[in-house]
Amino acid sequence: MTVIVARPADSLATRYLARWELLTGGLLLAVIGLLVALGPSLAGHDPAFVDLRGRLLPPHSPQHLLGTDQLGRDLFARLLHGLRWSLAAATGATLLAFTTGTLLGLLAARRHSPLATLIRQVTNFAQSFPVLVLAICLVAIVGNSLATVVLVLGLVTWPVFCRVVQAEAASLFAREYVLAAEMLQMSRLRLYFRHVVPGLLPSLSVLLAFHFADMLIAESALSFLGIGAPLGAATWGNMLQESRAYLLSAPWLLLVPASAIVMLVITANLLGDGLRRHLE
Amino acid sequence: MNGEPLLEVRALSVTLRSRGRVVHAVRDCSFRLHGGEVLALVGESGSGKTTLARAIAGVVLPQSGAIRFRGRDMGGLARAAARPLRRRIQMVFQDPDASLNPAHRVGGILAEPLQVIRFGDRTAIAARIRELLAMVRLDAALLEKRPRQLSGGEKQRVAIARALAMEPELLVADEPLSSLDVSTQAAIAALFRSLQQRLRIGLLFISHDLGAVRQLADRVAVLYGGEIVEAGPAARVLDAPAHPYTRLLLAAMPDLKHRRLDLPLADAIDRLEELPDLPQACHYRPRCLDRAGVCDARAELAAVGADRGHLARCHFRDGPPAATPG
Amino acid sequence: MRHTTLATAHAAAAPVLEVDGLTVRAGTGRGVTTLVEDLSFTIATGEVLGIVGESGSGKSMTASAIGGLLPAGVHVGAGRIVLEGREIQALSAAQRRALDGSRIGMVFQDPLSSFNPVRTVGSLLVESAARHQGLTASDARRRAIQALAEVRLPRPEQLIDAYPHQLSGGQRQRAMIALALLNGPSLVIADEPTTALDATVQLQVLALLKRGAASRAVLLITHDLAVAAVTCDRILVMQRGRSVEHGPAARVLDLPAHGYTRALLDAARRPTAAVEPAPGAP
Repeated sequence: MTVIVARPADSLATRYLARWELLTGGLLLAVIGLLVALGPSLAGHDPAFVDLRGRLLPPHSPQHLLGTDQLGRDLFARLLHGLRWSLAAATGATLLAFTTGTLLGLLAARRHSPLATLIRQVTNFAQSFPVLVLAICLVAIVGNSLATVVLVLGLVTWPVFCRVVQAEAASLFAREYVLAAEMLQMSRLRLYFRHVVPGLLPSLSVLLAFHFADMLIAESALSFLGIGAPLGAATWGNMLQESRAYLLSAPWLLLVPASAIVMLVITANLLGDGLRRHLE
Repeated sequence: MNGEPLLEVRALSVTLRSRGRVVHAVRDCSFRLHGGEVLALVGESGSGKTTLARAIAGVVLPQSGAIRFRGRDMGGLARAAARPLRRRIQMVFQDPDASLNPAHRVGGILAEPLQVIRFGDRTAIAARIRELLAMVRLDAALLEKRPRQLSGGEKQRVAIARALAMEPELLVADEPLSSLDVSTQAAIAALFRSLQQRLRIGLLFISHDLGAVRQLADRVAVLYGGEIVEAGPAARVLDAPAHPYTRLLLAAMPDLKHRRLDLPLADAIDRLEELPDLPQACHYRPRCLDRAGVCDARAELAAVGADRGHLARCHFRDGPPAATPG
Repeated sequence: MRHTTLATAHAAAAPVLEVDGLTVRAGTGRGVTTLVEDLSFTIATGEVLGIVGESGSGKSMTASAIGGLLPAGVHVGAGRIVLEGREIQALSAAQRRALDGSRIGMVFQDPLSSFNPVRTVGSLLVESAARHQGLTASDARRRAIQALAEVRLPRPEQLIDAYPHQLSGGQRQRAMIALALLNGPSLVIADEPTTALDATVQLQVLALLKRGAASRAVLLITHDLAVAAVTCDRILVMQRGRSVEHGPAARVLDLPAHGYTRALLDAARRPTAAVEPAPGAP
């Protein structure tokens, strides 16, 4: 049977789109990286410095690029501080979920193994919990800190990775090249690292990017609700929360952190989507 | 064919579960394979031949029965004890596109088994790979290529070389020709034949293609519904089939010599009335063109005439019933 | 040899399908590859023409070009395809669609992917009968049941409401043939129709095609010379996009003129003592 494998027109468009997405995402990532590296010092203000004479200054005010909040604190400095916090929390949570989920997923993919069955059942059980509610309860018990946020978000969302890894690895185990490798009677470790894990990388890398975006939003939601981040700390969720009272009089208090969240999520999504298209 | 068989399968049954349904893929199969012998397993899709092959290869767990390899019961051995034995059983799959890791180069694919058995240092491995390539008649220039850059025949040769790297005594080949072009099929079949004879490997050759079976096999076992319905020397089974299913397979095969489409046979198959399932009845009865009243009770696998090497599971193995139902 | 004279008589009449200098290319600009080059043949009513070749020979592309199913990026570069006196390339898209459903019936290798998994087997037949024959819903259903019965599917009244996955591979392929024959096409194109099937089912499917050829032209694409030998009146052998041999089946099989045809025949006959080709062979 002669079959033309790819539709040239489609693949060309896909490749073009993938390149555009990766390029834009990468560029945004570079800018974000620079902002993280420079930190609040870039704004020339301490994010916690209160100046009651300069309250609620609009963006483009002298010395305050993005204006000030209800206590006269510099918004740009607070934004940069929040960026570090958000990135740290989302990265930590994503890595924790990724590590736990991938390890358990690989174990769950084995045929004829009671451990695999157990993990699959635990995953189903864990995934049926409402994530945010569970996180709120846990943070409320453990207390507010960056480590708590990372721990809670990571431990609540690992089933996402476990599910995907288990399904993909199970299909890889059914592939004949993995069967052929098994017939060589190699060690489990070698089988996994030479034949199974490389096959998972495309979907895992895409999932990582998307999960990171999810974790960003989840972290902001938590600190908006007043859990996770210490009260009054310069995090984006806190900034959103505090802006509510000034929604009409000083809308930039809302718009600044909100657009920052959107930008970061878009960056992660662009990278994830571009990666997905690229790997197709 | 004297002495201890290389492989002895005794009363093997394999049950598969798919979407909650239990499928008796292999039922009570017994046979022997000697070193240097080619046994063909023949049957249509769903006959259980692939499951049987995989059970022997150790990638599917049997429900009951025993698989003895070199006189040792594979099911009774601990993993570590079975490992060196299992390495002497290798498999060649139907589709080399699926059985070769697309991300690896030919050199890596062939080096892997040698690394696993700690064959030796780099030079030793490289020398052994050259030897393997020569055995399957491939050029060393292919070592740097990935599977997708090779032709179908070349890929299948790489898969065979990988299996040979373990110095197998038993090679299980599951439809190794059916994804290949006709001209390539003949060449790969010839390669199997010469390798098997030169290295005295026992070859379990699974195929639905009776032409290839005729070319390769010393003995043939015909599977239907997970059961062996006929077994014996290839010449006997293919030239004087005793089971109606074997006869049907042979008659339905398009023939370059006679070039006639057997329309009456097609009509006879079409006209078969559906029958209710009877637990005690012959499994083949619903599709049998020679069925009769006695088929409500199953026949045992028994000798055809005086030939103790030729077995068939049919009441009429020594001749057709007096009257065929219309 | 009665049917040879018959075929000759038919061939003398106006052919149902006339392919003249067909060239199929993929890509544009510098990256053009020619998949089929300067291919010509005719098929008359009552005749089965077999196009035989290995993978990459262009046989399936030929079928797709005639059936109007070329993949994106592949186009007819030159030549004419004339069906019942009308040049297909000149038709509008709408005319073309009407033609494909009614005058040309297609049968593919894998019947599972030809059916929509969430729709019943019958819905496709009923829809096609209604559209191309202008039948009412109940008449179209009756016609569909009749078509399933004609391909000898058991219990067609029940089968019409079954989903594709509830049928066996052989039953699906017969339903596909029922769909292909439904609107009384003058040409049936069968592209490797039995490759995925077991021997007994293959026999039944080939018998259906052979019987169907009594009142129409059949183009059978296959890699299997034996299948062509038992089914076809004429055989055209393709290699790398070109026709290397074309003639009555008996002549091509008994007195092959081209080396490639001889090689294919030798391979298909499976000599017991085949000689291994030298290194570098496929």
